[in-house]
This record gives sequence, structure tokens and C-alpha cells, in this order.
Amino acid sequence: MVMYNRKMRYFWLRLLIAGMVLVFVTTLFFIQIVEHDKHVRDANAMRVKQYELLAKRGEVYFMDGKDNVSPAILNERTWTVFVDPNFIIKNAGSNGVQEKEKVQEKLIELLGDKIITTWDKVWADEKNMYVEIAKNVDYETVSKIKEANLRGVGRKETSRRVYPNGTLGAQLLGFTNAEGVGSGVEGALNDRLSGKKGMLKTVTDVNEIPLSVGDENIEIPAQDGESIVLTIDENIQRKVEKILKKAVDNHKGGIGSASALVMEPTTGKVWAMANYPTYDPGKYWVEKDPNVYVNRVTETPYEPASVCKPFTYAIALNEGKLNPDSTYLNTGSTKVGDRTIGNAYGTATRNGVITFRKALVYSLNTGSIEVLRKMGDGQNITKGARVTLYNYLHDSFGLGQKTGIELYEATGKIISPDDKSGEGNAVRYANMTFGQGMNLTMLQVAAGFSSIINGGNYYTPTVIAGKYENKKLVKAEQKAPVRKTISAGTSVEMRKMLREVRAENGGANDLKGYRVGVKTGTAETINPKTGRYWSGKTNASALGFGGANSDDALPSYVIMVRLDGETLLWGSLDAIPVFTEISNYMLQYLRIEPK
Amino acid sequence: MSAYYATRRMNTTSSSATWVRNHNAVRHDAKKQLGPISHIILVSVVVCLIGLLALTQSAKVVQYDLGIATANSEISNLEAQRDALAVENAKITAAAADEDTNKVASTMVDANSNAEFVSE
Repeated sequence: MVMYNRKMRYFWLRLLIAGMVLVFVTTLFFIQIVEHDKHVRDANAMRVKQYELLAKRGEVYFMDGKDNVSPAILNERTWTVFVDPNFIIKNAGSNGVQEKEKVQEKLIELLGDKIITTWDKVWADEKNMYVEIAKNVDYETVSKIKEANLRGVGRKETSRRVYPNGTLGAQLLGFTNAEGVGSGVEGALNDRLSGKKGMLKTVTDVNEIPLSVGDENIEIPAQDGESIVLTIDENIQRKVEKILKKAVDNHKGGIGSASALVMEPTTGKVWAMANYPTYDPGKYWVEKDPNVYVNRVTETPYEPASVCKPFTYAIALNEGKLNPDSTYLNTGSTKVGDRTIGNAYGTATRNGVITFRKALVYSLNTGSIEVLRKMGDGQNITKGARVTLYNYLHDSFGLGQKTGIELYEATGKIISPDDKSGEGNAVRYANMTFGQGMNLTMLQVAAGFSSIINGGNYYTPTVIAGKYENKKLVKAEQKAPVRKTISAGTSVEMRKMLREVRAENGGANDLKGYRVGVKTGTAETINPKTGRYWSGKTNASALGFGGANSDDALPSYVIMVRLDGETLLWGSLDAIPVFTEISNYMLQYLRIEPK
Repeated sequence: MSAYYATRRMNTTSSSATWVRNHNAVRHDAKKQLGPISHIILVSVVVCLIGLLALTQSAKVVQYDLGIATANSEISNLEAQRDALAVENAKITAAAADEDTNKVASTMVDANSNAEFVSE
């Protein structure tokens, strides 16, 4: 009986153990085989985290002299400070958590006027776990908050762009929003500056600190953006902006806006690109008028007027159709088609037989129209003459098309003589000889003009001097000219003619011993009420070169000035003083020896 | 613990079945041996020890990771401090430059270096 009972007990015990083992095995089977994927997913959701590794945005530098650089746009780490009202209210007085009033008092002391909300709003909802208190908090302040060890107060790292020079080069540098949409260098070179984001997928501990124990950890490092050095020289830019500001302020409302461009004609490098009025790109959102963001040098085409006459003369000279010392009869006006086109006011004393050289000096419209006639049959503005003018202006000098500079730029427009609407007629082309009837950007005109006075080589204008790597400037390769526009001989003659123009247009104010050439322009604008040209508001321009200390030497710089008038402005009266001041500064800055 | 002693002659299956003079004639033979449960316990203890060793190594790795995270955090703080100082430095330098716009860069351009580009 005893043996039987023992056997039964063993039997039941074995059965129980077998049953338990079966339950375990079955459960494990379900967990590890049937529901394997679900549990892996759940586990990974708890311990595997995926982070986006942000690329550091590239910085932007100006040139400071020949080899040095100075910062134009830098990155600064900032922090957003937030509080967790739910945590503070629930835990106040325990575990080192201070009362909300004390937290509030300390944050007011540390953050001051950086606080962006009211405390009533912060504590209004006790369930709220995240309320932002201040944004763009600097390192020093956030360090003090960290030291204060306020539980329930957090900080989140962010980054912002800093413009240490304030408004300097504002339209050129521009700004960008989080989506990479913006203006200036920041917007146009966003792809190069922004770099590529990386990714980190890793097992973390409870504090979300990445651990290397996982076998599926992935790390793709972020690629920082390129730090770019601009050809813009900080010193020239600063001086030009001051000169523009002085011109606008002194004119007392007569000048709506002023722009200037300084470039090296033998390389296409832009040394200064300035606009006034201006703004602070570090606080662009406070600006009420978005027009102030626009870089008028590259983005706003206009009719530059007589500064384009050198193009007409250079084309005719290059085609062998013009002897500058030959003469024509200037009657003050000339008839083209059904229109009579006259010279500017104040030139009646120049009527009579006059050389073309003098016609350029006195900026006679009849002279440049006569030059165009010479490109045809000598009597009329023929289709052949128009085609020649168009081919040179558009195809050789690059007017009415984007220059290829690394910035946002407008195309502008030149009407082809083959235009189907008939707009490319003789009247338009007569106007085009003195820079009206076509819309061009300052950059297009200055780049084309550079080729006229540099021996006939067209360089694509550029603002990129190179990269800034390991605290060193890595210079970009100097690009060769993209095409020949006119012959070297024509270029020499044009320099001579433009110096003669300068002699009669403020040449007395040049520093002694230098050769400076210039051409001014006064453009009528379109009256918005009538849609016709009027003289109520004019734009004044000056375009010239300087820096050569002998007739054979090539000029060192090209300057273009544009003043958009709120009233009547004159190139020879209003734009020339601005040109002269910049030019004299450049002669000193470049340390060119006088002769 | 009880044990008994047996002569070698009794162990006929032994490889040393051949009796040799002056050699020990007895050997120790435990009466009780380890049962299956003891084996399981022993194996479990060994597995636990090995597991503990693995866990110690794993904990070491985690400790290093925490060290790396702390070091990274310090680097990040120092970089932030450096950036903040660089920005302040740039602002002060810019303000000084603004006061002196007539500064002449001594090595900007050599006036006689403007050789004409000869195109073919």
C-alpha cells in the first residue's frame, strides 16, 4: 500500500513537473517563435533610439586685404529654456524641487528681458509639461541656469547665425529660414553651406545615453557645410557703404536708394557690392519693407542710360566702322522712323560739326545713333546694324542674360531685332545705343564694361575667393576669360576716350598722377500713371575705371554707381561725386604709385 | 560519509586486472555519487557564473559609454564657450574696423602686376 502511494505521488509529481515544463515551453515557443517580431519591435521601441545628427552650417568670410580673412557670418550656439509646470507643482518642497515662486524669481533674475511669456500663462495649466520661457539664450546665461540646478527647468540647444559686422554687406550676405529659403549668399549658396545631416541609431540607457552594446547600431556621421570666403573685401565694402549712406543722407530725400559695385576687371572678382538703405540681416524680421532685402546690383534690372554708350562706340570701333576723330553734324536731335530723338538738356551749345570723340565726352545721343547708322549703310539704322549691335551686346558682352555669378540675379532683357512683335525696330535700337530701351542689371553692365577696358576679355563675375578649411584660406582657382569681346587695340582706344570723358567730368577731383576713365548716365523712368517716360524721376549712374599708372597698364578696378531718384537726378552731378570718392579711396587702398 | 575498500583482484573489468606484487592492493570507491538534481544545480551555478562574467564585461562597456557621453558633453560645452568667445571677438574687431575705414591693406595688390591676359 505504501509502495503504491509512493508510486502515485511520483506519478503526480512527474505529471505536474511535465505539465509545468510544457507550459513553460509553450509560452517560450509563443514568445520566441510565434510573437518574435512583435517582442523585438516592442523591445527596440523602448531601448533603440534614432537621432538626426545635425551638420554644422558653413561660415562665411570676407577678404581683409590680399591674404587675410575676416568673419562675415558665424554660428553661435544658443539655448531655448523651458519649464515643466506639472513636475514643479507636483514635487515642490521634496527631492530638491523648489516652490514655483522661487523658480520664477531665479529665472527672472537670470533671464531678465529675454523671457518671452508671462508667468500667469506658465502656471495656468498644472498638467502642462513644457512651456518655453526664453529663446536664443547665450552660453553665459545658460551656464548660470545650469549652476542654479533648478529642477523642472530644462534647456534645449539650438543654433543661430551671427553677423558680427551688423549691416555690412546685408543684401549680399542675406539670410535664410529653416527651409533654406532666403536671400543673398545664405540663400543662393545654401546647398554648399548647409552640408548633409547624419543619422545615429543606437541602443540607449534609461537616460537616453547612447550605448555601444547593440549589434544593429548605425552611425552615419553628418557632413558639415563648406565655409566660404568671399572676394568681397571688408574694408572696401565698409567704405563704399559709408559713401553711399552719406550721399543719400546729404541729398535729403532726393535719392530713394543707392547702389555701388567695385570689381577687379582683370579677374571678374567683386570687391564690393553695396546697397543703401540697408538692414541688419541678424534681425531681418523687424524690417517692415521687404524691398530692403533686395540686392539691386544683381536683382533689379534698369535702364542704365548713357553709361552704355561706350558699348556702342567699342562695337563700331571693333568692326572698323568708326574713326573717333571723324565728324558728323550734331543738330541737337535726329529723326528715327516716326520719332525724333534729342540730346539731353544743356547740350545745345555743342550743336554743329563735332567729332565722335567729343560726342562721347558730351554724351550726345545723336552721336551714338550716328555710330549705329555707320554700322549699317551709313544713312539708316539697317537690320544688319541692329543684328551687329544685338550680337555684341547680348552674346559678347553678356547684357540681358545672367552673368553666372554665384548669387541670385535677374536676367534683364534686350529685344532681338528678329522679335516677332516688331519691338526690335530702329527706334528701339536707336535708344539702345544710349542705354535706354533695354533692362540690365548693374552687374551685367559692369562685367561687360570690364572687358572693354581690360583688353577685350570677358570674365564671369564671381564672389567666391575660396574655402576656409582648418583656419586657412584655400583659394579657388583663377578662371580664364570665357570669351573675347573686342580686340586689344579697340580696348586701348576705348580707355583713351573714356579718360577724355573723365577729364570733363570731375577729373580735376582725381588724385594726381592716376589715369581714371568714366561715363555717366541719366535715365528717364517710366511714369506709373501714364506708362510713358518722364523726367520727374530719373536714375543717375556712373561707370568707370582707374588704377593704371600708365597708358599701357590695365586698370585695377571698375566702379559702377547707381542712384534711384525720388526727384530729378543727374549722373554728372549726383553720381560722379560718389564715383570720385570711391575711386580715390581705391587708389589709396590698392597702394598704386602715381606717375 | 561511508566508503568501502575493495581489492583489485575483485575488479575483474579493470584494465589493471593483472595482479602485480608490491603494488597497492586496494582503491577508494565512493559509495554515494552526485544525482541528477545536483548536476543540474552545479551546471546552473556554472552558467550563472559565466553569465555574471559576461554581465560584468557588458557593464564595463556601458561604463565606458557613459564616460564617452560625459566627455562628449564637456567637449560640446567647451565648443559652445569657444564659439561664444569667437563671436564676441568678431563683433569687437568689426566695431574697431568700422572706426577706421581708411585702413590700407599693405599687401593688397601690387600695382604693376596687372599683366594683360593673352588669349589664343
